[in-house]
Amino acid sequence: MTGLIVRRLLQMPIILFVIYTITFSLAWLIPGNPLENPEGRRPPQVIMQAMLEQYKLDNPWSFYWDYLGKATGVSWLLGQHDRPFDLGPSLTHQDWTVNEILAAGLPVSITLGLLAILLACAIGLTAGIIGGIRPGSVADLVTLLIALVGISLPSFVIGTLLLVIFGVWLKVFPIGGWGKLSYTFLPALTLALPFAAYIARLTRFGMIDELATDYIRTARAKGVPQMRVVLKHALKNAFLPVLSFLGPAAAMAMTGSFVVEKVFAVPGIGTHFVNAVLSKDLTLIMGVVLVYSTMLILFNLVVDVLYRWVDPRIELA
Amino acid sequence: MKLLAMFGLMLAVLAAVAYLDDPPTRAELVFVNRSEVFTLDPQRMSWLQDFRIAYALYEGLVRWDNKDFSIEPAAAEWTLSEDRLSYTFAIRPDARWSNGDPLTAHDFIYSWRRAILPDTAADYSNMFFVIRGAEEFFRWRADALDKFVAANAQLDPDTRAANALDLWEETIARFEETVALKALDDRTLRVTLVHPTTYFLDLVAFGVFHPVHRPTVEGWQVDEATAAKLRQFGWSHLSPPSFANRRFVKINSATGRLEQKHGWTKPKHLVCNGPYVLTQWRYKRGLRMERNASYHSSQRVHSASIECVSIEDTNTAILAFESGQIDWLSDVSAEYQADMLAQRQAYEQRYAHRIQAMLAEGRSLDDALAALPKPQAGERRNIHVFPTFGTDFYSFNCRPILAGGRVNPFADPAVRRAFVMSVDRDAIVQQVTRLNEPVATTLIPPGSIPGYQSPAGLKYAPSDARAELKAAGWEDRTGDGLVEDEQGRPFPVVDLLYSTNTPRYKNISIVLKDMWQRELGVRVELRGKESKFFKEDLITGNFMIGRGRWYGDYGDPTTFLDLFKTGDGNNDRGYSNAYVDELLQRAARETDPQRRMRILEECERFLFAEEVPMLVLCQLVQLYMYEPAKVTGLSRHPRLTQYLWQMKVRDP
Repeated sequence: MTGLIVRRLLQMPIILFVIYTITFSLAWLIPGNPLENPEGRRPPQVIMQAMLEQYKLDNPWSFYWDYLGKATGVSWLLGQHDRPFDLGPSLTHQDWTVNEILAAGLPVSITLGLLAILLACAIGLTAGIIGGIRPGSVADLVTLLIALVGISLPSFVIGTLLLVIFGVWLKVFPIGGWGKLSYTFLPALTLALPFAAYIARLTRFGMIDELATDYIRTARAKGVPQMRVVLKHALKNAFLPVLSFLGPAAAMAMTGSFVVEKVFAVPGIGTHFVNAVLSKDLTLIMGVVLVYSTMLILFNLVVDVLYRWVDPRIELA
Repeated sequence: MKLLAMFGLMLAVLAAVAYLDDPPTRAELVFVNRSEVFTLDPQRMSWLQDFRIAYALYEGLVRWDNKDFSIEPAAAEWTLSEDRLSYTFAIRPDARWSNGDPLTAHDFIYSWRRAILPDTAADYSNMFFVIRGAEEFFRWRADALDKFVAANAQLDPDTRAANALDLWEETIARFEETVALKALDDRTLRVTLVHPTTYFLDLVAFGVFHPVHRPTVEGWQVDEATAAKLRQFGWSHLSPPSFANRRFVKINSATGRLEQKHGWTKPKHLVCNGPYVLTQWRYKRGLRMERNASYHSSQRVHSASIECVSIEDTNTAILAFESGQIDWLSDVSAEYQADMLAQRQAYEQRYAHRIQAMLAEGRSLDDALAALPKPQAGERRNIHVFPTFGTDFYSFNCRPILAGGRVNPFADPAVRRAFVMSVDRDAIVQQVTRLNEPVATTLIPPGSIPGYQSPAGLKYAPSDARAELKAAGWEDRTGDGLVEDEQGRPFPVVDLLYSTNTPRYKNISIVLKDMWQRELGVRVELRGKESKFFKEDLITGNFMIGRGRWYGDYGDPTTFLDLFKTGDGNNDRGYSNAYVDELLQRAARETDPQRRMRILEECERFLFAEEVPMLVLCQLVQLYMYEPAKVTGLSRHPRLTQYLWQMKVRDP
């Protein structure tokens, strides 16, 4: 176990360096100039040159090394920079540093992602268990239908529908923004639905398989009540495929969803992935990618460790 | 069970986290800005949404009230010298910064120096070049920085740092010597111009001329004794600490440049002199302002608190407005905007007589709407069309040779005239954009600049268009419906470039293609590009006809007509004409404001009746949403400055 963790942590800088280099090369090739107001008046040449130099955008190499040094903290260790892990100022939102932008957006994205996964589990497991106990029943068909809709309807349709129903008609939830729990419910639900649908299907099939096994029949023969059979014995094994799905699903949910963040005006970091690229905001692109790669690598490690903890039979390289 | 317990715990923590993040109570005025605010540093601003906030936080020497400069600004009065070259501004004795420091003439000199310095890289620095010596100073400093890098590259860091500091000292001395900005005393500022500039006050009212507080911008650590002195006399009575003790600025020893950080624009630092102070600014969440207790005319500030909410998605913003969370939506760009306008028209038509009667009584349109019964299903009165200080057009590439080396048919003004006269603008605004924008044949929105009479441009006249094309040597000689020149070569396929970021330009381009093919017998090919690629092609001249738009910055025709100057940085058309250049120069030298306007009118007439380097379609409009019974204080002037402190929300 310790060996696994140490090995993964040692691999991390190499993976990050490769990701950094590839992202930088791609981002540099985006046409246009991030410092320019796309619809407005163009500043004189001298000014534009001064701005490019100030942000080291006149030369890809100087930007590449300078940014790498500041972001990793090497420049700080060498005494060339006043603080470590400085991801630089955003090129399009110049009053903000990328650190500030991420510090504002990451907690939001993580909270929303975790809430969505929890909701997805609650909805998905309940629906899956109901369906799995009596396959082919009306309850099963209804949950399957809802799951199908959940998977196939795009988030912006679900999101807008929820906004219209709960925000405009019923006025129980506010529209757009972030704050109290009431602000988080609708976006979390929208983000959760596709995951919930998938979890419901996984649980249902797992349940059907498990309920047909010998040990369940034995339990029933012994007179164990139905609730106990289903929740204590069958669910334990039916849950394993769900757990393996939860790893990547949680990562996906926490990376922030561009659509959900846009529809609900959630100040997370999902929109930066798209907007930063559209406006060629190099520092923001690099910052978002670096932080997220780090998070994903660590997250995968945590999931692997959790696996081992839940099911010691699993061997990991 | 273990897992369930874990889930439960996580849920509890998350709920606590989400609950603690409690938004403050609703502000008196809540609005959605046109887009995310980029910067609160007035010298570096260039976006409308930034200026809108700037006019609430800062206050310039004069303020444009959409007719005049009569709103009480920071300067109590100003005088203009006999030769119309020197303005003397007397700053109000009660003008103060939000921390209590007095506002002085030195604050303006400092702020304008910041804007002129190439180090700041301000988009609008060349606006300051009307001040005597400003342009020379700018060029001198840019040049000195270039030389510095070359001369100091080999030196050791310490010498380089000392040299950089020397250069900075020299720059400050040079500025005081060359740029005609003088503080006659702490509250009197004299500005001398290069030549008489009738619109100078309009520039001074513009956001980039607003003052910033030096100790804030540079991040001085001030002890209590110094602070007391500051409050009494202002910072100019103190000598600033060394660069090592200034938090937000430093001199880069490698480039010699003054480097400025932007952390000071955050609520905990920002000191401003306008009607409001910034109390909260959170990235992508919004910005909150409260009444500034130190402001000199607080009785004119209508709302005690203003919140600017960030909602990027226009559908969500409309829903938030419909649910009453938002009082004013300053940009409605939803694809169903035309349908919303149709609902508004249906409402107005039902009550047409009553509205007419109330307007005749001298009531405003909003007042009249507010007095009417509530709209029924399929009607609405909360969407409003505001004409702007901007124009929609298509540029002709006027260069003799195209990017590919081919001869450009649009270098011939007769061909351009033919293309302009074959376009039915009314059909476009009624059937394509469906916003009924005011159609225009000239670039400057009519009636937007006092004292300026817009000339007439070329109207829709298809038969005249064909005659023009024939006169230019293009006529259908083979009877195939397409025009050829004398040698029988067909008219080159017209390369029509547009950007694909909104459906608007695609739709207009399709209709234009149709009109030109039908009326003129030419073949047109559409080339839609993503906005970055589009812009690249536009700048490099890789197009024959390309979509464009322009918004004016200040209330003078030159803010539009400068586009046609030979070699201007925004002259995408590559247009060059000696007569136009001469007229613009004559206007710049003309001291009589009326005669100057006549020269500029002649310039625009020549451009749009004879030369037509662009096909002007219409004045751009901005759609707002607000309940006319609730929101007051919005201006209908095309400049659409919209001073937030004039706005008020009342209970209907």
